[in-house]
Amino acid sequence: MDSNRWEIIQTLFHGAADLPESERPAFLKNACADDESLIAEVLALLEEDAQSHAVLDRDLAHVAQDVFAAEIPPAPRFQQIGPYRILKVLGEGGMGVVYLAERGDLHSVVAIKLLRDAWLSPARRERFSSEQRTLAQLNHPGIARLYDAGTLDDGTPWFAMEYVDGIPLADYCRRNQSSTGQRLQLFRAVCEAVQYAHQQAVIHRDLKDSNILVKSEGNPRLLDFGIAKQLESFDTPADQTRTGLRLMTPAYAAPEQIRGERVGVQADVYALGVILYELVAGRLPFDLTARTPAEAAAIVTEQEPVKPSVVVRPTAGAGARDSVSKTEWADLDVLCLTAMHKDPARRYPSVEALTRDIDHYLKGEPLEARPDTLGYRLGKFLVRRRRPVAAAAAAFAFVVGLVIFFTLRLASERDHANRQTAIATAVNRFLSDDLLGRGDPFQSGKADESLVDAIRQASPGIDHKFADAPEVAARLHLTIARALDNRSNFSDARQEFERAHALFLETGGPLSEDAVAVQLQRAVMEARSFQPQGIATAKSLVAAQEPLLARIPHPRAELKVWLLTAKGLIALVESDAKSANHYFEEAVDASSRAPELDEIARFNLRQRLAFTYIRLGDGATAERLARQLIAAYSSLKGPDSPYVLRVRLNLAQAFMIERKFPEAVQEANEIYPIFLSKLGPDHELTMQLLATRAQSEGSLGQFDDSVRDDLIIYNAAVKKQGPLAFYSIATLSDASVGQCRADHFADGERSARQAHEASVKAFGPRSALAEGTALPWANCLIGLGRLDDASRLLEGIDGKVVAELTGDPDWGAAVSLAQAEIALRQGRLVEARKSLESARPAFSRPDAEAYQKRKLDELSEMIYHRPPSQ
Amino acid sequence: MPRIESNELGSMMGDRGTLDRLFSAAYEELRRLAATVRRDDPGATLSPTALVNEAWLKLAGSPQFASASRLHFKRIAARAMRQVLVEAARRRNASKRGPGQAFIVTFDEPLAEGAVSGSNLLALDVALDELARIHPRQATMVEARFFGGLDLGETAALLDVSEATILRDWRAARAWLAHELRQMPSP
Repeated sequence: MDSNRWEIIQTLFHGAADLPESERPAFLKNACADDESLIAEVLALLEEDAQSHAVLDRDLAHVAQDVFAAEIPPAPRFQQIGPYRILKVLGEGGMGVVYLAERGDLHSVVAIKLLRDAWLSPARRERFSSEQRTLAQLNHPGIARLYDAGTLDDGTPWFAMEYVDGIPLADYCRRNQSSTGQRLQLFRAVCEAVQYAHQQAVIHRDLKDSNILVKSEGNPRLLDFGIAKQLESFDTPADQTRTGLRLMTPAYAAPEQIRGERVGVQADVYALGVILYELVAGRLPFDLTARTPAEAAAIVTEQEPVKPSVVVRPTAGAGARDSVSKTEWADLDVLCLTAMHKDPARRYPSVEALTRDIDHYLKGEPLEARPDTLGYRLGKFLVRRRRPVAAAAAAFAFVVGLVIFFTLRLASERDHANRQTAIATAVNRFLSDDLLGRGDPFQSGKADESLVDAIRQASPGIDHKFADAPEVAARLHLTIARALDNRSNFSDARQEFERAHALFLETGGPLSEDAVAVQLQRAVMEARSFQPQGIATAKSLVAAQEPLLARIPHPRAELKVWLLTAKGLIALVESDAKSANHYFEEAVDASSRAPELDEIARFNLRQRLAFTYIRLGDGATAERLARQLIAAYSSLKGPDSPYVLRVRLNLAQAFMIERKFPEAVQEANEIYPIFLSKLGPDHELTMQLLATRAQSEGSLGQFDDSVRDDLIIYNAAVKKQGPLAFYSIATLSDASVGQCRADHFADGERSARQAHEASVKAFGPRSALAEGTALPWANCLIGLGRLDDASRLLEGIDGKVVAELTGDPDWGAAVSLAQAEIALRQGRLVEARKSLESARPAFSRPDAEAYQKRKLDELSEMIYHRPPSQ
Repeated sequence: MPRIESNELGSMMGDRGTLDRLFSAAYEELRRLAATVRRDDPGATLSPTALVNEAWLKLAGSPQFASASRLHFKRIAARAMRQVLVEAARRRNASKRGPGQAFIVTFDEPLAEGAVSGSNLLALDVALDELARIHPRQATMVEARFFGGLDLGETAALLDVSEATILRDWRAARAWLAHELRQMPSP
């Protein structure tokens, strides 16, 4: 059919359709002359017009259901996914199906999530595996755990997680008629789990009642990290930095989520606020069930919720369940409405802050939050904080005022932009040098910590205050980022870096030198963060910035320094000490031409250069550089200055590399108390110092001391970075070495296995860390007499990889020594001799580690003095 | 028949990543829509209109959509819904015919209804392409109404014609498509 004919047919069709059926044949006969085929065609259409059609009259929902119906089996019997037998479908959503499944051999029940239709788009696959990675990273009693993962034969990915046999939080409270106190306790447990996720740099973004199940024993569990955002992943596509919003359940979505804006931890705070509201008021803050999406969006973004106390008052239902006083109701109102504030900047700044106020409520103490009617002002902020913070905030407010004054005054001047930059730099200097104590962790007493806290809390207000001067705002964010970075507060620093970057892009375009500098500084931070995602992020940042840098005609020398530093750190973490050394030599050289760099940056460079020599195993050069730095900075900054102390840590490390263990232990003993008091037990540098001491003690045969130190570090590291962080794993493995050398084989084996499994999970089975943790495990297994298991483990080890990671050139020899012991105990004397002899050169040197030396001697004696018949 | 990767949408948007996200969003919304039917959930507030609204919210941040009007976006989304559904139906049909079925299960129920509708959907896709040839505006209208859930007013605004014209067009196009589908062999 062609277009013309279709026009004719349509005209006839409409003409006929308007007539009673009996008159149509005559009409058509007349209109079509005698064109029978035309008449037939129009009649056929009229016939279709009169009856319904299976597809065309069906609504899209049913059509979709028909198309998708086939693959959800109503009763999936005898069905198997990996080692699991499917019991039933638990639920289904946009991404996939969740099954209840049973693992026969372990008698355990799990929930299995399966991605459907992976063919559709790589983005779905990526989202699915991102949820899996997120779960793997989260290890908390309040979060459903990941157990297992795999793919079906056709490549469909699945993972198994903890099955939570519970009921949604609000239901649970209703059924048990929980008191307000009990509700808040449950809610507090939820907050703890969310806070933990935030510490692991994960934003849930879909917190709601139905995603929090309470088991019969009364412990809530968080589920469904399907749209969680990894704060680490940086250059994520738009749908990941923005919420995958589910508009039809917008009840828990924060206004900024509804608007599709950038979503941070504050979105989770908002959702928690809604959950709390529901728990105390007995209903959701807004009734959106009968609303269109647009109406719902308008309500969530614009309408103020009714106070929970007002909701409860007329019905007396929920209120009657226990006696909540009038003042307590006022506090509950403040708690809910502060968490749920429309403006993210006016909510609780973190889940921790919300939890603190919950605790205040439960203890009958005054809340930190105040009713919003008084307004959020810095002045208000000053009143309710302790004095040092008040002073800090006042100082900050003063700076802000100063900047606004200058910005306004200079707005009319011609070289506005230049001057603004000059002012911004001055402010930046003032903030970083004077207010934030040079961003130096050693100068941070408690008061200073709260200062950073104060400024961090003020941070969301910066953009608003400096709306007319985005570059100033950018510099403030950058300064705060660097201060947080220097305190190893990576997740907060990351947000500030991102903000600074966005603003610099806004003002300077894609080739803004400042924007590039921000990204490279962030790369430096990511690389040194020692978090699993850190290196990948650092690399992608470097890869993105390097071409931009090449396109800037005459870039500031500072940029080159940051680039080289980032590359150097990446190389360091990737155990490429040689390249790292090269990069840092170059960076130190470039820094002499970069006046923008501050003292801390220069110092860090030289200190890292010294550190690369430690990694290269060149203890002597490291010791020399460290002593030079100590001398230079002792006269410049004083012998107890933070700079000097930090290099003394490197000196201790250099001693250790040089196998001057008593000196290393002595140096560590001297500075440990200072680290402890100034940085606290959880600080990264304190941990490094302890690690150095532990290893030196171990080398001196003081295993109980070394295990004690290692376990302190391990616990601190887990608390801070989670069990899958590089540090946590490496220290646990070190602890296992000490335990097994002190003949505590069962404990040691447990630690070693845990460390190895964690390293495989976090870094992969072929990673240097996985190999590095395999040897201690093997040695413990030998101690337990599990020789075959030990042997299998050792087979996969490539001594060189680990030697580079640890800076221990004798690692390969240590593997041979373990193999010699296995062969000996299995009666394979020829192999035992061969392995022993390949280990001998390393461990018969005078400077060899005492334990290994002794082991070599013992094995030699047994192997060569053993009757050949055995 | 155009595959999902290379089609008119691609030229509309030019960016693989955005296209990818659009299809993901469309797919997930269709899934949820289907699930409400399966659960026989009378309170479900989902409708194609809501779906498209939601997809819009999800994707509005993409640079490609930043300049698109809401209406224009709805048209794009309708196309995405159509393609995802058709592609899904095609795969279902293919997997029923031969080996390569991913997920071997024991079905307690026959697949008859789903199979029929799946085939019909493929036929509809072909017929719509034919309609696009002889009357592009009507094809766009059917796509917008049927797959995109645009209401009468929106469809009229999108095509820049009166609502009365849309009603007339729909009636004729519907009858024509029904007739075509009836004559087509099951694919």
